[in-house]
Amino acid sequence: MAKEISGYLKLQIRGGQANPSPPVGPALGSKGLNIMEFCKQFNARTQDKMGQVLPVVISIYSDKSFDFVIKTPPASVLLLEASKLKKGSAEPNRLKVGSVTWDQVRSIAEIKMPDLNAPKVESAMKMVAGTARSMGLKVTGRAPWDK
Amino acid sequence: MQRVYKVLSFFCDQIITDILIAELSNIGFDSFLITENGFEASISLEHFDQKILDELIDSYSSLGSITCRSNQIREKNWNVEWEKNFQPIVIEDQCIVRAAFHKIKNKYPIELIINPKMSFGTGHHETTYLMIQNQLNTDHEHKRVLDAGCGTGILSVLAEKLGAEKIIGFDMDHWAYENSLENINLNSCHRIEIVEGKIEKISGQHTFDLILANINLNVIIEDLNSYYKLLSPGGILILSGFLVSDLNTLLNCIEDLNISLIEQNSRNKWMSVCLKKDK
Repeated sequence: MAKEISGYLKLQIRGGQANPSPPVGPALGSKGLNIMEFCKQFNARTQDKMGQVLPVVISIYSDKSFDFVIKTPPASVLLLEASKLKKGSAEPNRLKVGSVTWDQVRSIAEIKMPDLNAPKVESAMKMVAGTARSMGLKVTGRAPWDK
Repeated sequence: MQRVYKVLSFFCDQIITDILIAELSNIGFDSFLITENGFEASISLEHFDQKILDELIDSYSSLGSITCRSNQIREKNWNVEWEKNFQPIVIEDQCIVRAAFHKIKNKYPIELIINPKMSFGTGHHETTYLMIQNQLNTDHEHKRVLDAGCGTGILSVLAEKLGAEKIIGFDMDHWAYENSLENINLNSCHRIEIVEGKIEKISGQHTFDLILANINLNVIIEDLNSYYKLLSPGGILILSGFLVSDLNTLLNCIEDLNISLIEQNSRNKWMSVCLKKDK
């Protein structure tokens, strides 16, 4: 019989670097989950994405056991990596401090496809490009739909 | 020393949440809790910079409303809820791991008393279970043992109970260091020394007949050469903390060393290997 789920926890943690400091420790600990077991599992499953911020959804069962799903990194994290900027723009709507190409937007959209509610990669690209502009990143080159 | 954390609660929409998380992760924040109306982030007080935070919030305030409230919390044992409910565990009918508060009916040849206090190693996790299983089948009598990343100190305590002559355990985590000392006392052990720090702190003057490392794949691979140098000829290296799917990656790393795989075990998706250095 499937176990009864008593709740969920949503976190974003750097790959391979989960540890019991806040907010992970207090969030899991207050639900009676074994923090150290979560950290060990998360770090083992994400060691190939060391340091990259990864969303994780933990399902908590009524017997205090848990399992979790690791999702793809947020588009904003991938965009900052792609633009090799340490920080986004100080004034996103006015000052463009960095750029990404449409090819990079496509690569990010392809990574994000499993988690996005987008039927085609082009729709995912539009979402990613929207996030890039919000962050003050210019999308350079010609969009694939601009023939 | 007890660490103090700055806890920041952000109230903002999801797009801003994702962007701020990406930005904060570049300035020292490593984990985030998603809440109903935004997210929570924290960082140790000595690394917190109010000016950088204000600039960051300012730079994205044109995208929508961002409110940030902050407070401070002291580090404590957040695992206490789980720890007060954990059940004793028996391994191979040979060894029981229990907390000081457990009253037990049945006697086992080896009893380990472990109060975990937010450190890793109670026997509940597959990797600790596998390590204990391997240790129970390995001769410890009069051996020198190194326990790398000792956590609660559970493997060191077992090594002493199995007759090891001298055990050195080390862990870079201060909580683990303190917790190991506490558990050594609880088990009345006298032949264990605990060092706070990484493997570099272990002197190269002595070698060990048995090295135990239940950490994770990346750390094991990084420290593999150090384990090899610290291992006596004919010595045994027992490794765990990695997944079955990572076995080949690990085995590729030992190809150039004069060391042979003598045993491998798995439990659920977790794995342990026992390696012997050539004489």
